[in-house]
Amino acid sequence: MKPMTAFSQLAVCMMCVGLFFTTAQNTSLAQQQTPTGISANVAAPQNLLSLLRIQRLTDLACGVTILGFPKEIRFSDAAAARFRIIAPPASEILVALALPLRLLCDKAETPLTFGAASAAWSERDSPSLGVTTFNPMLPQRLKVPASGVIFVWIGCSVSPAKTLRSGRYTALVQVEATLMNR
Amino acid sequence: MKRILFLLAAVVFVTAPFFSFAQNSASENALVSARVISSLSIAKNKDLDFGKVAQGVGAVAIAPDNTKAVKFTITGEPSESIKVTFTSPANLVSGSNTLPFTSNVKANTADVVASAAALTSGSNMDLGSDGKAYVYLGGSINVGSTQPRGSYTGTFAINVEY
Repeated sequence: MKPMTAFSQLAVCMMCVGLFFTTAQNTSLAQQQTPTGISANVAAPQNLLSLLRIQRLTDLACGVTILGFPKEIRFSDAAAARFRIIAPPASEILVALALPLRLLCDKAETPLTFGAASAAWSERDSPSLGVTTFNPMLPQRLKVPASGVIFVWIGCSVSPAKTLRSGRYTALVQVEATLMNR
Repeated sequence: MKRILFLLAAVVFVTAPFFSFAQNSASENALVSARVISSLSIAKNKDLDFGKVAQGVGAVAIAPDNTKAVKFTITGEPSESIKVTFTSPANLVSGSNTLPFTSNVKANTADVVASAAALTSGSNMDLGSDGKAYVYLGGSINVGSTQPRGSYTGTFAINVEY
């Protein structure tokens, strides 16, 4: 086998560097798409963050729930989770939610369910004006309005069994948006 | 061959950032929480029974601390506030005859009737640290000499809610 010339070595080196960046960024994206409960957009370069951002405005607070009595939080309730997505106007984004199946309190758990109309989105910050409801279990491809802002609301139903113990039960819901046509 | 290799390397190097740019994404979390508390229940230990009362006896009272009084035990989430409402019959009834009735209701969170305070319908109170509260029901009737004989009854209804 012939030894590599300096030119060949330079070419191979450039390929390696290019592949390194591609792999590194794809790895960070893969981590973002895994519902680990940790916001993982820290790996995105700063200039990309300005293109697509998600802000949590309110958490999903089911409030006082009595054992044996199911309780529903509608997306239009003040207790619903509320997010603001900022994206380039007229672009398309894919919005996917990672939804927990249960709320946890130490080792105890209670079922958490989301209906086909538990979520809604709108370009206006009002869940009662011109919203589009959607099934939070299915990804949504949305056209970003001229304002570049989309609001998303998420409700849920919790059903604590009579035999459950009292306490504060929690879980995380994750919203992920991906820019489709850049 | 060298040129092809160099060209390939250059293409990978230059376009790598754009592959990731095309898949730009962001994510954010929200906390889902619920404060799960015990359901409320209420149980009586007995009914309020004045027993046999002769015509013309006049006023007969059973105080809340009397052994004949009713004790309602409320069970729920410790230290949680509850609202107690009740409706008391104005009269006990026997067919078409009526006998005026006045209830006397007291409550506390310790199972000691002596320390109970008067309770009006619609009042709020906190359950005890053991999740219990107690409502004591007494009352009075006035049996005149012309009161028709018979068995007079009425229903005292009590409701509790968070």
